[in-house]
Amino acid sequence: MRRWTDTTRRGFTLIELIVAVGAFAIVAVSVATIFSSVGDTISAGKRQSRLNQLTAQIERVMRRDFERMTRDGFLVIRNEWAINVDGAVADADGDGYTDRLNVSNFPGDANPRPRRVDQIMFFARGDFESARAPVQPGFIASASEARIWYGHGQRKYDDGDPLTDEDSNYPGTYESPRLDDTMQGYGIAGKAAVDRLGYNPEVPGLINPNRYAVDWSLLRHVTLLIPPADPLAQALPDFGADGLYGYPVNRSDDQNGLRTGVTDGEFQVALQPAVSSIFWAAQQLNPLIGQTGDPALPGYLREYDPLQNRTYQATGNQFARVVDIAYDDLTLAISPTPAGLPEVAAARTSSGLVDIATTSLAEIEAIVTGADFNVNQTSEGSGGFGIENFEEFEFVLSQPRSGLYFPNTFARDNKPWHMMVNALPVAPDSTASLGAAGPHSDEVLAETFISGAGVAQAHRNRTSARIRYEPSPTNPLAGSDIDTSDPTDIIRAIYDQADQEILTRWEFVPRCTEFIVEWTYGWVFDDTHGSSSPYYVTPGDPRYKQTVWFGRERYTIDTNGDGRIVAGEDRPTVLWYQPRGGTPDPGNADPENPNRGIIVGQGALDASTPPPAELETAVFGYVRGIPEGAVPPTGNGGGFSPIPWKWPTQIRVTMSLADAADPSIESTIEVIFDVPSDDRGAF
Amino acid sequence: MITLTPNHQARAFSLVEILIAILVLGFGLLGLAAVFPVVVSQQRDAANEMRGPSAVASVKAQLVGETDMVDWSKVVRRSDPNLNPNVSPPSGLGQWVFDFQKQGLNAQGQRTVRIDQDGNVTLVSDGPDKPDQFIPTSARLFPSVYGSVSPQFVWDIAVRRTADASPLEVAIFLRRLDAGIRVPDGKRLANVLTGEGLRPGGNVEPAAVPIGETPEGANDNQRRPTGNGTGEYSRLRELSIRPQRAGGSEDLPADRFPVPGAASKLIETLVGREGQLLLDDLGVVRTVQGFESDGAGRRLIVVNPPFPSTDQRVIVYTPQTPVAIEIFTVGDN
Repeated sequence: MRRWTDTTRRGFTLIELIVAVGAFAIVAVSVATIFSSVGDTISAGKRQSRLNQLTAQIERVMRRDFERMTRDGFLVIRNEWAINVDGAVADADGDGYTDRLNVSNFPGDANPRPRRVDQIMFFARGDFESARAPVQPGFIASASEARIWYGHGQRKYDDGDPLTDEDSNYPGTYESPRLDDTMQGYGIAGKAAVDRLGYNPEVPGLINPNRYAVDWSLLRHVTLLIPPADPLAQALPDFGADGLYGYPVNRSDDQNGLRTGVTDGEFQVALQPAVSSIFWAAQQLNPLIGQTGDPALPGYLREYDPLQNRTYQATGNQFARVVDIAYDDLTLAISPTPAGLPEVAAARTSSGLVDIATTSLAEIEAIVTGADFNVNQTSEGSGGFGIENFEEFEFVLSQPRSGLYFPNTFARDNKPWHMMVNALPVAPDSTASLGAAGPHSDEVLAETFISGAGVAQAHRNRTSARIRYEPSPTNPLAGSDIDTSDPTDIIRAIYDQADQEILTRWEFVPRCTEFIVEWTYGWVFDDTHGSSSPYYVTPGDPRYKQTVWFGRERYTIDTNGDGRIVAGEDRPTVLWYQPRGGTPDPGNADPENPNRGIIVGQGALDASTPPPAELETAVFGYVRGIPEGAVPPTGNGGGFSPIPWKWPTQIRVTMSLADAADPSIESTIEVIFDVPSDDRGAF
Repeated sequence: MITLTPNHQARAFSLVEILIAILVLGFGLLGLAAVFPVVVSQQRDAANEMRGPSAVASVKAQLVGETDMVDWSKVVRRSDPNLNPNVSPPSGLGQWVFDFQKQGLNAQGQRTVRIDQDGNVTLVSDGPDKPDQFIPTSARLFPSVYGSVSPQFVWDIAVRRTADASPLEVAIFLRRLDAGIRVPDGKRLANVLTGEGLRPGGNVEPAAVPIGETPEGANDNQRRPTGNGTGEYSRLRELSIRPQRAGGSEDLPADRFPVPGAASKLIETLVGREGQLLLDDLGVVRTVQGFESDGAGRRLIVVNPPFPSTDQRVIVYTPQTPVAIEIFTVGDN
């Protein structure tokens, strides 16, 4: 029998237990607090580490790009808000911005706010290589000139069913990306701009992949500038005995044979698709448009390219897909055009599939400055700048009179400004209302073309379209379903796979929830300005010696001490550009204080103030001076005067990045880049 | 039959024992908690290392480019006989000048940069027709107080010429702002550092300097960083030193020096902390590796790269370790 005889042993008293439990509770709370702190610290550390790495990487790439910037091209900075909904919405939250600008960062975001989705575009010299996977190993397009663009990208809406058409204009384009995708809308009721940044389509069942800021990505898109060369002089790789996947291409009679088809051309470089111009409008000037029933276009555009003095071989409707472009000249044309494809397809940089333009900095300059010459001419009876003016290219090249001088009457009403905006790789369609924007009103060249292309007015009241990108291939199996004995199938598969791949190549900064680009002439607030200047302040003012940054007006600090930052109540810390003299200078006589008309244009969507506009575009063009000994020409409605186009001295980039693990946490970085000084030697 | 003998030794823990155990555990946890400031500090250092070069490049872009922040052509010419009648040939060439009011510097001919107690910098002009250039502290913050991102750094400059007619060399010292600056609810750091919007109705004086030190006396020996934006603006300092070779061996590099006897232990600590950056009158930035003792038991500060000789040098430093020092030439003015 087991018997316990421990009579002296006892348990804890209630008091002891309570005290012990109490003490333990205190310790437990402390432990929990400490471990919570540990977790927070580790999370913050990881986040900081990621941010540091990303920041360093972003800055390294961008600084290198900025260092390579050349003034043989031009610079466009576009400030733009993402727009949430159509139509004007009152400023219910009282931040000074209409609530249509309040974009949610993530689903359920309790504090949506206006977010900037700026773009910057410039030209650079260096060694650039196409991002597309080569069709033939080792046959890769490269260039010493490029257009560089930074801005948010746009993912394509997917209805989730590869067998149905998301887009009546471009069937099946989510899975099968198309060269001619303008990213401007779907042409379907209720889907017009379903995938614009921040836009809430408010249509049941439609999910905008770009609705929330946390899903946005900043792109870096490099467009190689490769002028068309003599096809017969081009060095080609050794395609081997089998030729190009079965097509013999190194034939002795290559002048008339297959070899010609694999050489570079207007729409093809290194067997890759190319656009013939960086200008959005001109990209649409595919001569074959005329072949497909657009009687509005003048006939010469169908047949004659005065810049290249070449006659287009307008042979039909084979310009439908990359493979067709590549092989049209080959006489290996896949004919008839594959069923289901539209007959006309002018490649677009907005498609995200193209990173080559068969042009050059010299040609671009000739076009822009030529546009200036044309503006005061009555061309084609239009009374304004239009497609017709491309006719004058030939004249510009033969007599580059206006290309050498900068007219003192130059203002936004002159068209080079628009031409440069038009060089953005996507359609600047949100400038639609520029015509009603007040003293600087004008019509927009781009808009002329877009209207012609059938873009509805409703599309314009949203964030402008962007270059397409996808975080991952939309159809990983593209090209797998082929007949390997059929060279045409093989080549098509290669292009399809390259298309899928290149869509994932432009993403530069994922989860970039805001991108702001501002510029300065290096001016500071101080007392050296005239007392009427907006930049005149005296020592003791908090702004004294602060750099004056220009862009779309912005408010970042509570200056009136009421505890809130409200547009229109606090003092803006980023200003609309005004010459520092304080007095408008319509003659634009002072090159150090350029008239704002040549620098910026505001596009008012609401036509209300404040804010007067959802966007502003700043353009910096060609610096021009009179060559030594030259006599400036006169005429053209007032004469020319050599005035340099003053470029910014620095550019400030501000971007916000959402944390991968917790999108409610955003980190913002700011970097200032020096703009290289004039490398043209004129001024 | 098995008889279990009662164990009279077995008993429960007493309350005192439990409390002692908890106390011990508490100390342990406190020790664990003490690690966090170190971790946070190291994270901060890592962030500095990453952001420093970027930030100083941005600051340099503002100073080098075509900017009205500083007109270097108006900064005093040492060789101007009207300004420097008694200095021929000019002395002190090669030395960094950052504050003509500092003791030991001859104001005549060296009045290039003036820094007041709030950190405001004045670049002295080279003629009565050119006003001095005043750069308030609030304009030397990066990112700017008028951007989206709160300021994280403040920059200072020292200038010099290595020959009478040589271009001006400028050294940017970039330091992280004091971490302990108090920001009232609803305000941003920019409000505190500019005075803007601190109270409704208008501007007031800044509530803090970006980087502070105790203002005790005029002697650097007594000034120490406050870490919270209080006190005076913490300015650049200089120190005359004589490098030594390890063990006095001629075969070894002159990579160490003692802090002169007149300087305090505090200065030795500030100068000798690992990672501290020292700019010398050769225009070289040297990084402190730490302390070593010589044969006589004196503490020597070891730097990398080593000095080229054991000649006397003047180093410029900041009480807080800078994130980066960037030197550039502004061209012949």
